[in-house]
Amino acid sequence: MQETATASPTVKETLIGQRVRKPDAPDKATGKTRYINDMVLPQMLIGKVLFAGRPHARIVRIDTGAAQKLPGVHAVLTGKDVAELRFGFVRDNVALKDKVRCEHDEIAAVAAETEEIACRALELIEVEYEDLPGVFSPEAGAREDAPQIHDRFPGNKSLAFEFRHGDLAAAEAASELIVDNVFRPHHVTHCCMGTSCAIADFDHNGKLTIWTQTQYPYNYKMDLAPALGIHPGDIRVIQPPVGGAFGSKLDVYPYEPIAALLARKTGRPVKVMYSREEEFKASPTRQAAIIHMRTGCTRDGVLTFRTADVLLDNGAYTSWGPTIPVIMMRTTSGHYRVPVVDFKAQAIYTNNPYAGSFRGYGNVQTTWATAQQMDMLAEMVDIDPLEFHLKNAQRSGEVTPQRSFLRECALVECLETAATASDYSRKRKEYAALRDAPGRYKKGIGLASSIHNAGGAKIHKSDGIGTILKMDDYARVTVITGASEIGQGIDAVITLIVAEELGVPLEHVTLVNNDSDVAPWDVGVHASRTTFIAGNGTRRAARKAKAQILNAAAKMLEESPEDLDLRAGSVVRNTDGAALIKLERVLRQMHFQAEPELVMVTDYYEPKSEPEGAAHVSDHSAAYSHAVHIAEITVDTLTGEIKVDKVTVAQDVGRVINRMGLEGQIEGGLAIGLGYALSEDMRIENGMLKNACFRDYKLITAPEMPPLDLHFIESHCAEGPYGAKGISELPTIVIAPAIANALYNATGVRIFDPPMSPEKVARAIFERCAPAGSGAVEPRLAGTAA
Amino acid sequence: MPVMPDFELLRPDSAEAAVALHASRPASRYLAGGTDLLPNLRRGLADTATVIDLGGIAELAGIRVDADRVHIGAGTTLAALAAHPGIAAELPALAQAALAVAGPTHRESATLGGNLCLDTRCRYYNQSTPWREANHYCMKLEGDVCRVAPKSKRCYAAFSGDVAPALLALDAEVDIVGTNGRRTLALAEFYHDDGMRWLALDRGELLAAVRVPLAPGWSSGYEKLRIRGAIDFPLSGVAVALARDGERLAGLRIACTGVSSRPERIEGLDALVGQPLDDAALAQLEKLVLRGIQAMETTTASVPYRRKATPILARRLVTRLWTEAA
Ligand SMILES: Cc1cc2nc3c(=O)[nH]c(=O)nc-3n(C[C@H](O)[C@H](O)[C@H](O)COP(=O)(O)OP(=O)(O)OC[C@H]3O[C@@H](n4cnc5c(N)ncnc54)[C@H](O)[C@@H]3O)c2cc1C
Ligand code: SF4
Repeated sequence: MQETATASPTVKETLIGQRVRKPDAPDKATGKTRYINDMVLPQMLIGKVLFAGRPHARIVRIDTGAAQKLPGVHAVLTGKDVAELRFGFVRDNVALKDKVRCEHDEIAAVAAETEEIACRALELIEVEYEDLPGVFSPEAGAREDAPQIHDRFPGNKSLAFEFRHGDLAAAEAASELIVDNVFRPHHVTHCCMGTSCAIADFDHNGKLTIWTQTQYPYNYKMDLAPALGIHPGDIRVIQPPVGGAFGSKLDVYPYEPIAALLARKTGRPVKVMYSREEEFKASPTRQAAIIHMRTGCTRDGVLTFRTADVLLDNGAYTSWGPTIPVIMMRTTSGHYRVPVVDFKAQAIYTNNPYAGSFRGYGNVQTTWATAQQMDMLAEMVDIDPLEFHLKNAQRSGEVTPQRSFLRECALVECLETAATASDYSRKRKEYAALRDAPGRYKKGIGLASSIHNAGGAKIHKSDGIGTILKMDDYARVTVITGASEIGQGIDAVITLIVAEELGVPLEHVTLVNNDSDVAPWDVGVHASRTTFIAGNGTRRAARKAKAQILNAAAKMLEESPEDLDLRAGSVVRNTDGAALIKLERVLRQMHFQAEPELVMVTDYYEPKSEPEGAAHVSDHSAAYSHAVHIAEITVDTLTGEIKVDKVTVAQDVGRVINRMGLEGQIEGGLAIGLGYALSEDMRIENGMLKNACFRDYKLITAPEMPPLDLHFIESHCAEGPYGAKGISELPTIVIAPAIANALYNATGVRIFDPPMSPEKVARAIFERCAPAGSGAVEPRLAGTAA
Repeated sequence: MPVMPDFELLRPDSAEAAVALHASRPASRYLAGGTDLLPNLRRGLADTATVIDLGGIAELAGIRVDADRVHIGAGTTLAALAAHPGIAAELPALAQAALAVAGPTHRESATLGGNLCLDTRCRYYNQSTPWREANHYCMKLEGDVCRVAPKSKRCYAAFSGDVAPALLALDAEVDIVGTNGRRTLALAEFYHDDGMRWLALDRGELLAAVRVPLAPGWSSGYEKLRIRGAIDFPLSGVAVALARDGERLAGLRIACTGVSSRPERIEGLDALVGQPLDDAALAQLEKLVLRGIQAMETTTASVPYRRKATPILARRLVTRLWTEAA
């Protein structure tokens, strides 16, 4: 008889996969956190910006005389003060404009003692405009006789991208079924609860300190410097707690140099903070696009080709928005086995608001198209969409036409898990059969999936991170890292990893990550990269520290370092888990011994990914991941209201690190995606935003959040920290087309231009049901049999 | 102006004192919960030198249920109204409508009086001064032309309070205090069909209370069309009070909000009374609702949609109440 096994002390309890609270949660929940918006510096002035309030105009005359004379006003700046200080991705922007190219163009700026005085000063500035004919859609901007927005960009042409792979003509000939649609993803905006804010202060050596919400502090210096005509090295970036960023702070926007210009002019700190209305008008949008997509397959449901011809509404200036084709083409070419690809995109300047990066970065728009076309093709082939997806799904080790190496690929597992959990195939059949039965309320279920980079994206020269880790005499750990915290939870992840590696309590880890003069380089929070990259950096630094400590402890204890480990605040013996000496004692002895040493290690981690390159054929991320969403909805066919009853999510997360953070990211990402799908819509008429407020811009609220059934698939990524992959964009990307496919399942209608508002849905259902000859539009499902 | 303008704040302790203060100050406004007035002040929609806070007037507080009627002080918060067990049981339309307003934190301070006196709303009006300037103002404030109906001589801004239609369907009346004493009006007479002058209150008059008759045998309800489940004004709201006698309709009152410059009592419904509520009756009902409303381009949702959806909402609610009354 064997003895009953007891829990062996040699098996180490792991924190990986546990639920760990964000360190700043108590302060945020109780209102103690001081956001940048709350900050007041001694002597600080308030900066206010005069916006053009018209989409396209010549500035004939500006008179700031009366404003300058108003008591309490310290500076008034106009375009004349910054004429040549161009900045931006293609140097087409300037902090204060000499010509109006969009409604929110910054015409003048004031620094005054109070906000009231600054506002009054703005009213005293007289500007005479000569309005010009405008360009309000990319199609209009591309016309030969279109008004020119920038002299330097003839034909209103901004960025263009192209990727081709395989013989398209042959693939088309081999395709028995082709879907061909035009999708029109719309303008939405980030709606950060903390509005845009920057505080700038120059010292007398000409060095600028800027407190800002940026999510990429190091390249930010490089981007801000030309707007001020100073050297990037003379900028110190401090990042106080922020109320959201979601991509909106991944570039320099004019209010930041404006704060700095006013600070330089007045010699005092200047704060510029937007009101909610200014935030709606002046912060970047998600890139609006017109996507003409075609996908082909054989009679037995094997994909043959996919083409996308994309026209982007660049808006008035070029920020990150028009660069999204870099990601759009990865999904177009690499989601499911697509042997032949033809992708091209052209961004056209318009007098509309301009787009920046936004969680999902182009993949929200692309997946809106690809996932609906997958659903349409499955119906034409007449097989269950699940089976159609499975048939074309890649397996581990496959490489996409753009050379994305799907080393660990869990697409099949994601599909099967979500479909089983939601009873997808049975419900889909049942609901489709009831579609034309009598009854006002219809149920529908829809499946969508996508792929996204999950190990950074090497669009800069480096995608790396620097980490410094130090320990004090009491075994308290400080991690000094470039990784920015914008609410996504890297603070919890880093704390967890340090505690895991060094066997210290979570509360004994402090993070310093908000001062560019202190923390080492990082490319920024974007591309679902921070847990992956900073997680690796932290783990490497912690392991260096651990090796140093165990070596020292081994000497003290006359043991071999391989036999030792760090657990629960002590050095323990590996074999039986016995605690040999307190960690803090080891650290003190190391510090105070004859040959003293301090634990302070540095690490620079650069992921093994390849630079994007002009040809776009490179393994640009250290990992890729998939997610499948299945949405179940009820549609009121008379009012067009969609109620989302449940969403089942299966996502390849590599490995769960902080379960609570992961759940939070998926819930939050879904909320953004649901708003995109159902209600959020910037109403831009002739370049003017008509709904610059939460009353008319319908951000979803708590009652709209459906119950979620989350399934985390652990594919154990070889490159990721403990096997983890980046996770935070896919939840936003996949949900909208899942609902669109559910809407089709319920009612037989398809919406090509989000959001699927009650009004659009009701109209589409009405048109589908209208009797023949009544002028009703045919459903736009266009199938051609070769 | 995004910043709050300066004003003098007064806090009288009786309705008479409030009315007298109002009469003695030119640009004065009553403040109840402030959830409508304060955002409007910040947006520069109201030229206001004096704000008279009604919060100190005891008479405006409280709900009293008598044998045949409920008396509700104008200062009652919507949260209190929705939570009152007697109202939820006897006048469900009123409780449902109160609960449909804004979000929980708004309802904690928002009052019944403020809801009934709510300023009319329009996408060209409820905007900041810079926005309205950039969009060339409109007739309701500072401009000459109506942006919604440029040839119109009147403003079509929509009355968008949720509670008024419920009270109209329940046949409520209102008590008013003015410098010349007190008067009582049927709620239907409290409103004008004019986006710029929608209340039948004379200068300085104050709404003191609402009285709702209890009608045994009647049931009621409120349905609201909106894009999201909270913090959303009605694109259209419908309140119904209905009495059923076996297979016949014994009484029916419908009122709508968000689709005209006043809350609208739907006319002509008497023709359906005494009849069974069959498909023909429902179709007739939809027609009458459509005829009674005048949705204009005052919201971001289109006119055709709101015109189409309102009768459908009414039908949904009437059918539900009819079935439940069986
Ligand atoms: C984000 C948001 C969402 C909202 N959503 C809704 C909604 O869905 N539905 C809805 O109906 N409303 C909505 N509102 C409007 C408002 O909150 C409510 O209508 C509320 O009931 C107004 O009451 P109050 O006490 O706050 O009014 P106040 O703002 O204090 O007053 C409103 C107006 O009535 C006048 N007034 C107040 N009391 C009296 C009185 N006793 N006699 C005479 N005049 C008086 C005031 O002078 C003022 O002109 C919303 C408001 C906000 C800010
Ligand atoms: S209906 Fe016309 S006048 Fe009235 S608020 Fe709207 S735009 Fe102005």
